[in-house]
Amino acid sequence: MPCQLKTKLKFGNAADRTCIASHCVPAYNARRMDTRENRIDDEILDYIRRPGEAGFEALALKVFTYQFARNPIYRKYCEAKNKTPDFVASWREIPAVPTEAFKEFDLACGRPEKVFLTSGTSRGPEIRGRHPVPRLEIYRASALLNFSSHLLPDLAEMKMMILAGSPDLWPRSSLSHMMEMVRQEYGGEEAAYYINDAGLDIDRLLKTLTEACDRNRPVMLLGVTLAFHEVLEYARNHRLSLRLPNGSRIMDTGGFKGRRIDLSKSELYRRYEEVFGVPQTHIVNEYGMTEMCSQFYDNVLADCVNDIERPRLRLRRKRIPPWVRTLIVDPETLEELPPGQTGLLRHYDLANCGSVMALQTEDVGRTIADGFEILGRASGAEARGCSLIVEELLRAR
Amino acid sequence: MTDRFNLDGFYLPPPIKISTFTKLKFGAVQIRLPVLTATTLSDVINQLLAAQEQHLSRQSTEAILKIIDAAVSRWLKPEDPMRRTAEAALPGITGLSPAMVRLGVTRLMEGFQRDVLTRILDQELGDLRMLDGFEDQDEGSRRLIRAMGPRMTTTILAGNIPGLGASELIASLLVKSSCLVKVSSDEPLLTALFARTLVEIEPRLAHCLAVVWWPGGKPESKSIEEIAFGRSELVIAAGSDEAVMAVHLTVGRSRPALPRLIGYGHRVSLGLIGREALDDLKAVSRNAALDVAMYDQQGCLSPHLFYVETGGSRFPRQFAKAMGQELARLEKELPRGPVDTATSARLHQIRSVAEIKQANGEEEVIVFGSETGTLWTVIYEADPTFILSPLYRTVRVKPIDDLMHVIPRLEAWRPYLQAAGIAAPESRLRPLAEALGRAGVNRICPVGRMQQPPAGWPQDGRRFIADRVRWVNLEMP
Repeated sequence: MPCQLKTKLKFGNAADRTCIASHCVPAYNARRMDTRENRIDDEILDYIRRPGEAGFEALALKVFTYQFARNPIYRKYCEAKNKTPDFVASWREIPAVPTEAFKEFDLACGRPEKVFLTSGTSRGPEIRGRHPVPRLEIYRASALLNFSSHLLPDLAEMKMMILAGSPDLWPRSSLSHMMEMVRQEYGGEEAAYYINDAGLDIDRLLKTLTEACDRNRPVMLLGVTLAFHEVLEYARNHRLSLRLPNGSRIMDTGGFKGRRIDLSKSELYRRYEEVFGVPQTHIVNEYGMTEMCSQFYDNVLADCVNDIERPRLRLRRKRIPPWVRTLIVDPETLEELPPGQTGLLRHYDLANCGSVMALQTEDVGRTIADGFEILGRASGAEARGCSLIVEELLRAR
Repeated sequence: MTDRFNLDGFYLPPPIKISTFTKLKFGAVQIRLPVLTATTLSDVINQLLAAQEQHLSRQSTEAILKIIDAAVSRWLKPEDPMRRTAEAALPGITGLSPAMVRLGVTRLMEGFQRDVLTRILDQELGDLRMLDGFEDQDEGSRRLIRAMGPRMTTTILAGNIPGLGASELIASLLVKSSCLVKVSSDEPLLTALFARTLVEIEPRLAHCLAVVWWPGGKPESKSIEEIAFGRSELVIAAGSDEAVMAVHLTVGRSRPALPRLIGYGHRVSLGLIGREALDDLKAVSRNAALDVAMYDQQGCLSPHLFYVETGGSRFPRQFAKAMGQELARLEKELPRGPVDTATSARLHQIRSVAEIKQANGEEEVIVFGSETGTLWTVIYEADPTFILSPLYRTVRVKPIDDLMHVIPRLEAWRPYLQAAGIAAPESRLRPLAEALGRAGVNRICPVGRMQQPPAGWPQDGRRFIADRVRWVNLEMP
């Protein structure tokens, strides 16, 4: 399998508009279900590894039928909306579940191999979303292929320095799980985590970075934006700047959610460039969520390696993997918006076949070319003045 | 909106001039605010203190009441130019619809008519003449007493409801205190407009008022805040708990003059519907809907949820449905203002989760909502837990077998409770009010009047005038 996974993805036209006019719903029974389950899992694995131009629609509808049958909570919601497999003819019509629902319901289609929890930063620690994943192999296939295409389009592996907690430290975190998968697969023998229970181990990090410079061997720094920010602050206070070896790269994720850090994305990348000596083409932001098995990455490194659009960094955008579709919808009407308009992101992720494929997020973005740009992540509605937001009060309690 | 507005959101006593400004943009509305330096602010405060000493402190309360009454009367006239400016610009600034702004300004000003203010002064101080000189404390005791306002009050405003600044100017003037108001960047207009009306009516007030802005709590504002708080005898701060706490800390640093501080932090309100009130379902649901719709639920008096008693002639869920119909009707008369993307997203998430619960018959949940968008949402929910609303006309309705059983549900929210609107027969009100008061609620009023507090209502449990004055007594030999 590792061999297959190292096949790089080809990103062709993102929108698969093939429509299947008629759709038949097979009769279900429990015994047949198990084989169906395996069959659909395998089909998705095949599709992730060898995506076809036209296969998305058919597979999406199949996944919908499957989830409708296996996920009673989702099924009742679809029935209430009159969107049953008999009446849904296109992936666009598949009812999306609000990400908030993962805080309230068990949305698994089968017995989960693992349940990931959201960090709970936006509404306090006591209310956390739960994403049950019945088959980690699909998660793995999606995560690795997408990661390698965007972070390692040119190399088979690279020494990784991970600014996140290991799965031992953050056992319920999907981010840690993903980091561990990519570490094992692509991280080289010296890969290590730099967050422990005392926080970011900045001394060890700087030591390793200095060594990398001395040995002139490129490294990959990957982790949460808040940890990177800590390094930037440290560098500022100690007047420190590095020049990491050519080919070194950065992947950050998570942004400053919940923190009052006033730093624009471009300013943040400029400071990464300044402190680590890594060019903007090698700074890749990841956008992912606990509720979703697939992730999105910036196009910049893949495009740079493939010599596409090199000077056009302002077209930095999130690439949509072939097994995912993303719509931008009007925040009030929830109708699809024309390209370029700002709205809420709604994802349809085949890799989520074990829970719910169609996710309505609170994240704000707009389409750019074949991808999209994130303009704001969910932080809870802001309330003004002497009234208050749920979050703030819960924190106060 | 096709008109473009460039307006000043400040008022400075002459002859102080400012050369640097910052501009806050709200769509087509642009508000100019001065960038204050420590020197300018000190000059402003010198003016305020001198004018208080030479002019304001020597005025009779009757004279001040007359000026305020004249200003309020102007603002109650639809054709008043200041009011028209406010009506034209505030929808763009606050996100409230024009109809809501008009109603809000009228309600606000009605609360400050002369007879209302006179009554508040008499009630809170015993006699309004206490502000003008020594009065007998007890008849024949040869002990006299009077009330004195601070020389200068600094007020930090919250921005959720337009017009709170006008109320602050009025209260300060009534206790003959010069007033430095820092407006909120969420609503930096109405206070300055009202200050100009006051000065137009009584030009000698020109040096007693200042309406300014600075980035509150930011490091760059540290010296400004220390000057403002250090030279005030009273500081009033409204806003988020964090903002109020920040003011506390700065005030603590501003020695040697340690001012008194009154903080108004986060507050929540709720509604209680007695079973008897369900007989007139239309009336009670209309009143409840109005309380929710006013100021798009942004006020500390806006109800987050309604507890409805079972055992009446209608089921609580019928009340929920009826309130939905009334909110739909209000959407035409008093439409909700536009909301930002993050708010829409949050409202949809809350509504959709409730829809999933309803579809799954979990507990008992029924969602009533505007057909498109998030204009209004009523979630009927059997679970009696007190839950906060994401606001903007989103409200929960919960059945309860006896209104008294709401009381234990409030315990966790005690420090934050503000008002309880009640629809119940008068005979039931006193015991309920006693229990609600003990639970932390500061104002108990009929449903439908939650957003129409009488001037001088005990916001955060405090008195409007009495908390601003200090008492001086004179013991005759």
